[in-house]
Amino acid sequence: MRTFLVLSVAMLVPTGAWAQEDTQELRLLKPAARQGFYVAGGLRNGALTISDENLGGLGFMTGFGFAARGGQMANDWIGFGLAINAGGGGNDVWGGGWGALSLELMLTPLPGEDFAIRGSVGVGGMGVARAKPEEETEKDPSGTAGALYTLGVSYDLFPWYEKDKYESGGFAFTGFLEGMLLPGDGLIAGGVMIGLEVTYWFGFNKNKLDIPPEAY
Amino acid sequence: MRSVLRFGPIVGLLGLAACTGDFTPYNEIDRLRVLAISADKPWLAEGDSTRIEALVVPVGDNTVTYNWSWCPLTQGSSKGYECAFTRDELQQQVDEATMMPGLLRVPPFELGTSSTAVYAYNLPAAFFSSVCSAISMGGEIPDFVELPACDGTFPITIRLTVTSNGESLTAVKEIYVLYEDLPLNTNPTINDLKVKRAEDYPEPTSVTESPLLKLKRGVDYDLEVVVPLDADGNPSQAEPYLYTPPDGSGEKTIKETLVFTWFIEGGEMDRARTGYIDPDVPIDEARRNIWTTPKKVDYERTTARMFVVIQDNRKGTTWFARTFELED
Amino acid sequence: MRSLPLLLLLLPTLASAQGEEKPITKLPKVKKNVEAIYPAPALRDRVEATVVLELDIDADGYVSAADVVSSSTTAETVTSSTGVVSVLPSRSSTIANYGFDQAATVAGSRLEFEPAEAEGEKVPVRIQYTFRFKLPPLPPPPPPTIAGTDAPPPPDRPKVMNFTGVMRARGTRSLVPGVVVTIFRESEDGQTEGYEAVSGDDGVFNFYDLEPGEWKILAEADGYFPFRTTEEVTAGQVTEVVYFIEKGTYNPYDVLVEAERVKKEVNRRTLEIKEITKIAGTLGDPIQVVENLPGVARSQQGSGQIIVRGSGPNDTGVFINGVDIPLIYHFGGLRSVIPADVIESIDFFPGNYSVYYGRKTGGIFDAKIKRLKPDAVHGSLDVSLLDTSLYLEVPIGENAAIAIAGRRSYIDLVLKAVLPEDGNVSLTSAPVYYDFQILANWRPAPSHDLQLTVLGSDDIIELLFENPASFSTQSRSGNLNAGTNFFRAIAEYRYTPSSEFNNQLSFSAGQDNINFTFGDQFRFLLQNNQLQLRERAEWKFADAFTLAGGIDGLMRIADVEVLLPRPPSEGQGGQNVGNPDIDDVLFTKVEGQRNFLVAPYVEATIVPFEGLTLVPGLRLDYWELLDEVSLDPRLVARYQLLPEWTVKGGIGLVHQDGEPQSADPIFGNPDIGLQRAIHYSVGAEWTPEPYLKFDMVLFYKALDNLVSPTNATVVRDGKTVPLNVDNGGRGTVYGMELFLEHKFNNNLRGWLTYTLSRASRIDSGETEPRLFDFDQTHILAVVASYVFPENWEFGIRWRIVSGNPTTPFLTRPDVSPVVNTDLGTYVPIVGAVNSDRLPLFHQLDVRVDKTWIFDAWKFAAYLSLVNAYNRTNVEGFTFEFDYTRRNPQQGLPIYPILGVRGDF
Repeated sequence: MRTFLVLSVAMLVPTGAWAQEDTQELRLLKPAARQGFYVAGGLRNGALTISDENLGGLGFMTGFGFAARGGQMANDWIGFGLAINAGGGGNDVWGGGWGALSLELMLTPLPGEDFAIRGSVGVGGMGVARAKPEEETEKDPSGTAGALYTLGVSYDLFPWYEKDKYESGGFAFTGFLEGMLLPGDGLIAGGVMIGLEVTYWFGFNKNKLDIPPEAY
Repeated sequence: MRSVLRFGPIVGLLGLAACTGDFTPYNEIDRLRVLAISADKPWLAEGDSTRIEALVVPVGDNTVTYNWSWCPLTQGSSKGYECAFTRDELQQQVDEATMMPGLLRVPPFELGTSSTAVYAYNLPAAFFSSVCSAISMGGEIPDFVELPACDGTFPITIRLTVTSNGESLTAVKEIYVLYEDLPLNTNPTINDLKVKRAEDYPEPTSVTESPLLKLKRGVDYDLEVVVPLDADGNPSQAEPYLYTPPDGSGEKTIKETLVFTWFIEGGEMDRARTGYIDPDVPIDEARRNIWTTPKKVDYERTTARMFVVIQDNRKGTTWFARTFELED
Repeated sequence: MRSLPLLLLLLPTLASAQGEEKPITKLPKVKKNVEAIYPAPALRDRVEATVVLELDIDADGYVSAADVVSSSTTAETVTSSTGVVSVLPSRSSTIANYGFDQAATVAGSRLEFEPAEAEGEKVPVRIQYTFRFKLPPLPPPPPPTIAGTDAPPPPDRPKVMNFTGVMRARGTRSLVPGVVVTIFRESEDGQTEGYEAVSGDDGVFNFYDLEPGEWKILAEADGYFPFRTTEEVTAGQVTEVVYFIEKGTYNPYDVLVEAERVKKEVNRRTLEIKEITKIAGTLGDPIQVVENLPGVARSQQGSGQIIVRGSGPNDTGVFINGVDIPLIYHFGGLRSVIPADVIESIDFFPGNYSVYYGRKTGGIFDAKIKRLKPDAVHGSLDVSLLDTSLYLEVPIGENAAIAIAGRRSYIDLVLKAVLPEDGNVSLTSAPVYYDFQILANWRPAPSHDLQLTVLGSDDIIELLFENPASFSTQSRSGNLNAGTNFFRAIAEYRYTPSSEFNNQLSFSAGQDNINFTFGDQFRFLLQNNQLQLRERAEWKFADAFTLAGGIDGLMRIADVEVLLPRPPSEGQGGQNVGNPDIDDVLFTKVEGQRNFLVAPYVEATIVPFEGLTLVPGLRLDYWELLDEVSLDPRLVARYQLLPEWTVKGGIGLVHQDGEPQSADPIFGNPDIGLQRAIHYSVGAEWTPEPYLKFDMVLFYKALDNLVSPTNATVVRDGKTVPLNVDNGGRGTVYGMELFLEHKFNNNLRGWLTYTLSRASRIDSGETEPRLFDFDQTHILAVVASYVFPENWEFGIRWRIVSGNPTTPFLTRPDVSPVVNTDLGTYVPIVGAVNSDRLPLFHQLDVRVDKTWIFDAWKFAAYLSLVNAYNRTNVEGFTFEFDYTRRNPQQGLPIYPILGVRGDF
């Protein structure tokens, strides 16, 4: 059972205890084209080489690839996303194909510019077969699965973006240059790709932008 | 409770069992092998003797040297079935037990160095039955001895060490000596091996030794082992016997299982080992298999041998060997 | 700009409720003051306030309730340079105040007091406490600017409300007070006309007599993104709106620091559930996280074992609310049987644990079920590559709430699609697991708390092998069935009538079924019925002395039937090599075997002088099956050397019975006795910042009477039988654990742990020690995550662990291979036990989380890449058929875990 008292007590202010930061500093961004969520798709062309532990290098191959990507720029310098890559290539003797699901990171070292460095790490697989099935031997590699790493640079060109209209986001043509590496089990594949994508940037909601009142 | 079973490894086994990498499969012969050992009488009654031979495949034409021995009590699998005593140590134990040295002579463990050996049941049955009684009546058994089952049969381990081209290999096989009156087991038999393929052997064709049957490289051939069947289509050599299950659920009569192991020198077998299990797996499942003959680039020799070994689950063993000619 | 609570008159009056009255002899005194945050809009508008709170202070000095009695705001008086005193228009009480109430309530509830006393006894009291918000004087006003650029003061208008709104937070739907809402528009002559309101505690804000037309709205609050929209005001109508304002970040750590629980143990680590659900490489599984704590070894992939400080997996107890459960993981070790949604926190003790727990020489792991709060309906749906889980929580009245949760895997669907039709194995019943939980909480009165938890789990797999002979020449069947299920019903009653006494009583009943059959060749069938009673009462006699006592009672009645080869024990050639002759089986069948384990215990908390806490305890265990009684004395001490430094130490004795089969006459030894361990530990903690903690512990464990396999024989009933096991095993474990923790601060949180240890055993009949099967010399784990804007979170986990010891198989040229032609298999010749070691293990796991916030719910997606740099870690070896070559058996390569989740 409780005993209740009614008292009025107060004290002069002593030192306060540390209280956890319960509000984050919110920074509103200036509207820009390369902002918010993005979806992109495009084609790439490049050169690839595969090395097998038993047969050695399988020579240079040229090929095509495509990618579908999506993600978001979290703020004006870093962004995350998901990418699905696939492609195929070959030379006279060998043919190969690959596919991967990757986690992508994008950095824009010069905020405000549309130039980005992007890298990804993902799970990928590669299949290899002889161009001429009659030459197959038991020791031929059949493929491998492993981690796929990519590192490259890209530039987004926004032909329809108008800065004075406080727009955020828009359509862009993205050109890029990328290196990829797939160190697998018994096979290592590496290559360089150059390509073009179409990207749509969704931009940020006006509530997250630093805009004057007349803009909303 | 949590400790006794780990299901994780079972699930893991399913996945990882397949990942043997570039190991040679068990049924492919690419090194010195002892594929089977057979005694013409796998179960011996008192006074009997049996002739033992081995299916040894050396590499190429290298000669093989043999060294046979027997042992009544071994140290078990983890010690490579090494005998628990030397013959002199066993003789000493026997002399102490009988208290009359010289009454019972333990024959020497060596059985010779020819390609075959003879083992004779030349100790009295009472010797084996008294070992079993001693075990069951609280006699002192050293730590390292593997205890026998003692159900009227007593296992004798036959040990063969072969040496060829500097490498050696040890093979063991058990035969049973009986100290009680029980029906004797016999080895299974193989009548024939037949091959079939629509293009070159549309009808099942017996595999002859002379002339050698010609097979194409890199294609699949259906193989069939012919074993004696009874009127119901079951293998007559899968003898019924009285079985006492370890869970004490009472004696019952069951049939022997027959396990076929298909050894080859080149190419790939669809299944390395097949088995007849009454009533779950019928004999037709067990005696049929598919052989993918090797390509020239993987197997250069022009002939390839196949050995089919049949075992029942009571120490009976037999085999059937054939050579094929491979056409390019 | 500080809030200044003033000293007012002391008015001692006694107003008693029912029952006794004792005069107050000592008033409560503020021990820890907390500054109230001055609301930003009030600062901007130069508004001051006085808020009177009524605080309920409990007998420990913590504030259990804080309510506003009255509050009033006043405008600041300003004297201009010309001497004119003007008063900024005060906000009348019809407009909600600026959030002063909120700020004062928040600060008031965080105050800590030295409790009031009545005749020497600490009592709870209720007091009034006033917060006065006072602005500092302004600097002299700047020279007047050109007219026309200032926003005009809000005009005086008659009070007819025609615009009302409620501010709610996006995603959580909770009401947001203290939001400044500005409604404005530009008139034809270019002037801006605008008004302001602040949302109250109920989230409501109102505007009065707005002219019809289109208005722009801007809502702003600290920690939230601004909210901008336009609304149409119609003449003669009231415009009603609900706005959802988005927080800057939705990570769960932006909650106020809770009072640190009083620490009594040397080694307890408590993990709050929100800290552990997003660790990279785990599936948000609360129990898997424990592997990243100091003292815990890395378990083999797929094994689901918990190995703590050199003790085997069976030596660590796993409990839910103190009730023991048979299984922690569903098969495959991928998923634990309890989801994170129903757990509040996990207590983990690597050693030197309290007498409340016992019967385990390793560590203790106790998951605490969530205590439901009846606030609103909440739920979530979680879909991942492995399984889907559902959770729903519903309040019932004001004092009760109920929640249900369930989960089902779909590995079976994936496997059915993936396994080839004509393969060697077909799934009669693909592996599938379920689990479910039902929680209910009822608090009829403040001192009574009842909780009911029902949980269950079920795993099934059935396989048919088409060609049984491919496994062994002795296989007689192709049917493999395996299943495990268990359920527990736990009823708990907590009675806390005062701060001096509390009592916890829990009663649980349950059943475990474990089945495994392989045709009629092997089987393991177990049904275990279990009742458990836990009672704990605690009396606080004085500040310096608390006594607790209780009972831990467990009754098991089991039916077991086993037909298996003898399972290998720890240390018997770690590759699970047994006799290849699978016909060499043992059979045992027991029905209605009862094992009654009861342990009364007492524990005292003694504070001989400030800063030093001693916790001695004594536990008496009775073991029916072994017919033994054991006594465990334990002592733990903590001393706060300096505000930031604490040193601690402990010593304790623990007993444990062997695994169930160790007492079986066929598989084990019915005369087997208890195993024993003495735990020693000493350590220090340093907390230089509130969010940083360094903890180092040195530990030593002496193990003896361990159950150990033996080849000796014994005569029983006139027959010589193998002894199987005896208590001849001994062992030592010693090492150091280091733990550096960075609690959430500046968007970063994480920890680093390093354990250096050596665990060895001496088997029965041996004199030389050998390494323990799970001895891992170095264990280093780094776990970190960083929160980015837009609700992105990026986390990593990096582990470097020494490989496990392994027993090598000898081969050419040392020994020739040996083949058993009857069984058709080669037998490995085993080398010295655990004389070899697997290579170093290291692995990086990466995880990215993204949460989308909608008005009424949240959606989160995550992608975790396990083994991001695709390291081939060796978990063991596979051997060629004659053991002349070996290949490393690799752990899993890089693989993704993808999941999505919805919460409302």
